[in-house]
Amino acid sequence: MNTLPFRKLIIAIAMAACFFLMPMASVAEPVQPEFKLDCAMRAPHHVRVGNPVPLTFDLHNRGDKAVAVLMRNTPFEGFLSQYLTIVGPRGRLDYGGAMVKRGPAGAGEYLRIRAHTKRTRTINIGAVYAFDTPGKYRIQFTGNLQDVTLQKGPSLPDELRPQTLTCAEIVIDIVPGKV
Amino acid sequence: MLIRMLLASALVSASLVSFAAPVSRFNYLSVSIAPADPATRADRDVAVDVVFTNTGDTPISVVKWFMPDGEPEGDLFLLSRNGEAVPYVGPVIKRAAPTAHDMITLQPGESLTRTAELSGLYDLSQSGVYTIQYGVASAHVFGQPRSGRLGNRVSPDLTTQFDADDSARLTTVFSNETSKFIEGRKDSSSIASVLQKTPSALETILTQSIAYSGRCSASQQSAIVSAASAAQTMANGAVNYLNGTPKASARYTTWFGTFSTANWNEVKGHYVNIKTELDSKPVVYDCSCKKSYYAYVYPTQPYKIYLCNAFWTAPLTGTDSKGGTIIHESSHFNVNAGTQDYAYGQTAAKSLAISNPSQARFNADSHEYFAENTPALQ
Ligand SMILES: [Zn+2]
Repeated sequence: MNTLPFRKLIIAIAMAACFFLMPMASVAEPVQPEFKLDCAMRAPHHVRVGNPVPLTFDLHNRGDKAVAVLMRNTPFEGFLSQYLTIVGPRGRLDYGGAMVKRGPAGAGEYLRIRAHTKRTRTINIGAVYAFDTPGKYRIQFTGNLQDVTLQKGPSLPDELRPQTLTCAEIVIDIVPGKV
Repeated sequence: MLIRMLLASALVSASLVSFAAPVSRFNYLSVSIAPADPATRADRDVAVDVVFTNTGDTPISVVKWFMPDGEPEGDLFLLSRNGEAVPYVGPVIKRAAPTAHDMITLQPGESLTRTAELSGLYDLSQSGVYTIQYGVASAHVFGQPRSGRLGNRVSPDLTTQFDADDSARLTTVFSNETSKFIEGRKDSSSIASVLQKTPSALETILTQSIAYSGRCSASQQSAIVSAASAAQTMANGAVNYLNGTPKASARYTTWFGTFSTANWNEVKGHYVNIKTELDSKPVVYDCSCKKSYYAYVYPTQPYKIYLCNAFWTAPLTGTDSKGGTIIHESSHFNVNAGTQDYAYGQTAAKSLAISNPSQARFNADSHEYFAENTPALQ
């Protein structure tokens, strides 16, 4: 084993930890009243140019029943669709990830959320958006839930129950990196 | 450095719960790397051999997507040239939680050699000596030895996502570093990038330019030719229809909702761009994807379309067909229409037309279904 990468990792952790900050939570009204789902995004207030930009996405089930949510078009599926709109100092950022056309949803594409709990996913949005200019970046969630169900199995294509999901926008300040 | 930073970021997230450290009982996986051949010309693939060895005295189960198998498996390597990190430019791959089925078991002393192709996955546009190292950090590199069963937590994608909950089990695995001279090459969508930079005169003499990447078989190539032709017919049909008098027709309102002349013309502009692509732009069709998807594209990278398993079994025309899939994917390119996937499937697309016409006019499936026009609407 080569030990050098570990040393670099430790240094990077120490640096990154300095600006890994705390949540800015928010709550949105569900559209279908039987499903009380809301979301929040969290991110560091400041990130240096060139560093990863971790965005944490919380999906909270405030209802009394467990639900299954199709993960498409949300951060829970990674970068297979464009569910964020990001506007930086030079305007809207291009999404550099993939757009995938899929067939009927499979059981494995559902995220189960127990009553009164939340599921959380952190993604590095720096991997698919270029935060290369210092300044403020407004991040909006523009995805949606393409299916929300009380069942365990996947819904048939004609029985999907989409639901709007509104998260409060957040702002990340990209600060100049060291040379 | 970018990749190391990503790894670091995973560890930082981890530290919110508890500080992560390599799990010592899994330290018996030794990984070594060597170039498959010493120097690589620009017209040759860049390959490295990676040898995984269990140096312990009990079996080790490794999640198979951390072992290259000829198909893109995400960002498994750290590359640098002149001391600078070389960016990963390959697809970002989303994983479901690994199951026993996703594990490869190495018996004590057993070695497994895998050849990984790096061309197309890393930015190899510059000539020079590249330093290459295998390096991964994830909560799920390893399964439980023997039982082959994993916990039921969602697996973090190596390059992009990680559950804070999972991070206590984060493991890192690195190989030695190896060096290799690589002659700089255009990326795999080179035909597109070359032609984009040449005078438009060259473009105008081209008709339906099709190129292949990712090892398309002969039968796949012939399916692509038919599919591209079917897509061309659909795009022509859509443009011809929209060149008619704008009106609140059934065909228009079913897929795009509220009619206005401005809305109609906006949609028409999308199909004119798609038609231009299919008639005269150099389109690259890639066959390397083995996922269950139909297809995917990167909207910022026209005109490369990645075709996946569901594409090959789709009908040539009609709903969710090969031709329609090409229309769908082409609509995603920012230079054409920059569409999103707000709603999937006919039922959801029809609902979207009613509930949110402005999204419908930028929804890829709505473009596909309008062009497929099955069943036919007037
Ligand atoms: Zn799509």
